[in-house]
Amino acid sequence: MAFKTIFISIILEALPFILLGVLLSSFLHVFVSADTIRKWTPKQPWLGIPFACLLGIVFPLCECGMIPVVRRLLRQGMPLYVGITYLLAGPILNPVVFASTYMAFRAQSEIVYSRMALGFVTAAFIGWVIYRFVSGLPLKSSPAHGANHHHHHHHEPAASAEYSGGTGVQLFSLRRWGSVISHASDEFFEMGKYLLLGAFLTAGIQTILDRDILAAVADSSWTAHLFMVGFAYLLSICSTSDAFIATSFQGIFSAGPLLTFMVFGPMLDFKNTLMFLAAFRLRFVLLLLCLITITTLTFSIVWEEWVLDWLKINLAVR
Amino acid sequence: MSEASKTSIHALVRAIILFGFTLYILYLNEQGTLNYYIAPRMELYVKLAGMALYALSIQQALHAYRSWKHRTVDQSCSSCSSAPQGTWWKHTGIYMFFLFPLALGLFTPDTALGSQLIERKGMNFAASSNLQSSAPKPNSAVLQDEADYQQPQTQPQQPEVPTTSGTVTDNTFQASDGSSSNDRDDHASSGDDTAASSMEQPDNQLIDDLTVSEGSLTEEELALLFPEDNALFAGYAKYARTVYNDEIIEVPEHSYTEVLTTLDLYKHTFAGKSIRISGFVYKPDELESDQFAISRYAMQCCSADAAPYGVLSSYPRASSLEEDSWIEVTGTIQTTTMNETEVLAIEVLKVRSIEAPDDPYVYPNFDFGL
Repeated sequence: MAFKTIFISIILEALPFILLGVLLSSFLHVFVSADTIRKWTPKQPWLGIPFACLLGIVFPLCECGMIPVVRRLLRQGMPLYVGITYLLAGPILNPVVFASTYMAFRAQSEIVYSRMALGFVTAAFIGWVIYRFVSGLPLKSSPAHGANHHHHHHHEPAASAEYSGGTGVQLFSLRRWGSVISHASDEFFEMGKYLLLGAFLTAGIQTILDRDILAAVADSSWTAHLFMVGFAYLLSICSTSDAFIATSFQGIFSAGPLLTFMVFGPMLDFKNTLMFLAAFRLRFVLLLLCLITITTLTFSIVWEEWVLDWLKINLAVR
Repeated sequence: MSEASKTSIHALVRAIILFGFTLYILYLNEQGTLNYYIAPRMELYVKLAGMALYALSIQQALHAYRSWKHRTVDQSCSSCSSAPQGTWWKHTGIYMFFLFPLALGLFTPDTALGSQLIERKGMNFAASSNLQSSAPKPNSAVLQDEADYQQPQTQPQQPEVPTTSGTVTDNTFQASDGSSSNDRDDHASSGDDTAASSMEQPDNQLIDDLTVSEGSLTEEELALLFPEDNALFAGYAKYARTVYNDEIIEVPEHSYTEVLTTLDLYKHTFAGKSIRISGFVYKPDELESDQFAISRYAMQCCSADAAPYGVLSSYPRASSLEEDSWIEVTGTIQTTTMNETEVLAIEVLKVRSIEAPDDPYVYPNFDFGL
């Protein structure tokens, strides 16, 4: 019965965030034109990437809400590398996650800052790789939108063309809000099924996986880091609460693997791979998967080796 | 079947599912079992989500009605989307998947997490381990003997000696070590017998010397025992001072983990004091037959992140206690060694069985020690 408790609790916890995500995404779809987004996004990558990394401070969404929003932004003309950078950095570099990490690691502020910095560096690096090496938009055309095009051709373009003028004036149009809600429920069902599957499997893993095996893994640095990647992937908890899970491992694991857990988890986990697959083409998802895994692992090991101790001493002196 | 009537059926099914989730949230709220799944500070968001779901379901229902009415006419409603593509069995599968948690939620009893899951989650016997930079490791044993009861205050300033330690870390380490021995001199010269006696307690040994609890201490003595010299521990030190003279130290629900952390931080100083604590019984295989753990789950957001906290208790009639039953325990604080870590323990004097509390979990108290 513990399975049910965890399964339902993950769904209940994620519901507000995924709803916020789909509502925001639908709002962007209906009210904000592609032109506006293109105008607001910096053109140069050296500006665009930091911009995307810090966008999470203004739009603090966690990973469940993030994917529908980013998919929408990409459809509306945000460059791919900016979208992906936001997708990766957003769930880490945002005030909600900072607060929860700070709460969890009150004693070791170096971990809190390390998490934020590593999130920034990793996302920026991946964004740069995508800027250099990926061209085209690897978005999947979703069934719902295919149908839209099929039936009334005027509908989808209308969203950007007809509304692109004075959007502010029509903010109170009832029909417009009706279509926000309608889009939101389309996306809710599209994204929700992956959330449900993720919650189902996570609950299964949490009730089956024994934590005693972990201590053996924690011995060597490499296996500890690798294990944390795998664990974060399977556990699929929201980035707003994963810091608390990380603290519960403190006795067993050192700060490095915990950082890996807290940087990798928000960027990539089981639940959000499924959501990625709903939004992006398979090949791109695989590329992203490899990129994220290799980059976070390398960066976090390097960070542990050379930066963490230095940071710790400097913060302690203060 | 026409496209419009398909759309209508889809919208209807969606409306029902969305409304189902709204009802489920309402139902949990009415039953008072929402807190089995979600921390109180998250409940507002879940309720708001329930309202949003309700709005979505109303819209879908209207959409279903409109599509049905227009099913013979050419569909011209521009604000509504049409039926998703795909075969009917695929959609049925997906909708069933959405109905599954609802069915599971409504037709099986709501239960809070219990001892069953502790083995998987891993029990936290040392509440203060979150505050200390790392669990004591065998090679740092010397350091611990030296610092002994002052360890909580001085440890954060001492960077862990990393395996690849450079000269800089070594220096810092030396410096703080020196200051900690100065502290000790201060205590010794103040003639504080209690402090001295607890300091001389050898590590890893059960303290059954009850003289520590005799008489109550003055403000100054308390200030020496629990100095507020470190911002990190100030809250705990402050709390420790307010309860040290209590006849029985209570572990209240509203700051359960915080009080346990305080006691665990200053376990050598508190050894011998009386304690009253409640929780459920947990008896894993690795404990002796006269031992059990009195435990609570501490929850941050939802039960997926709930972490079990426990205090090792020794009680001759431990075998008579039923696993998962709720009890209130009165006993004496001790320390004991578990998996090479020194932890807080209770020698149980009295056990009283109690009703399971309305809220099975405990939550972090962010106002603690302010």
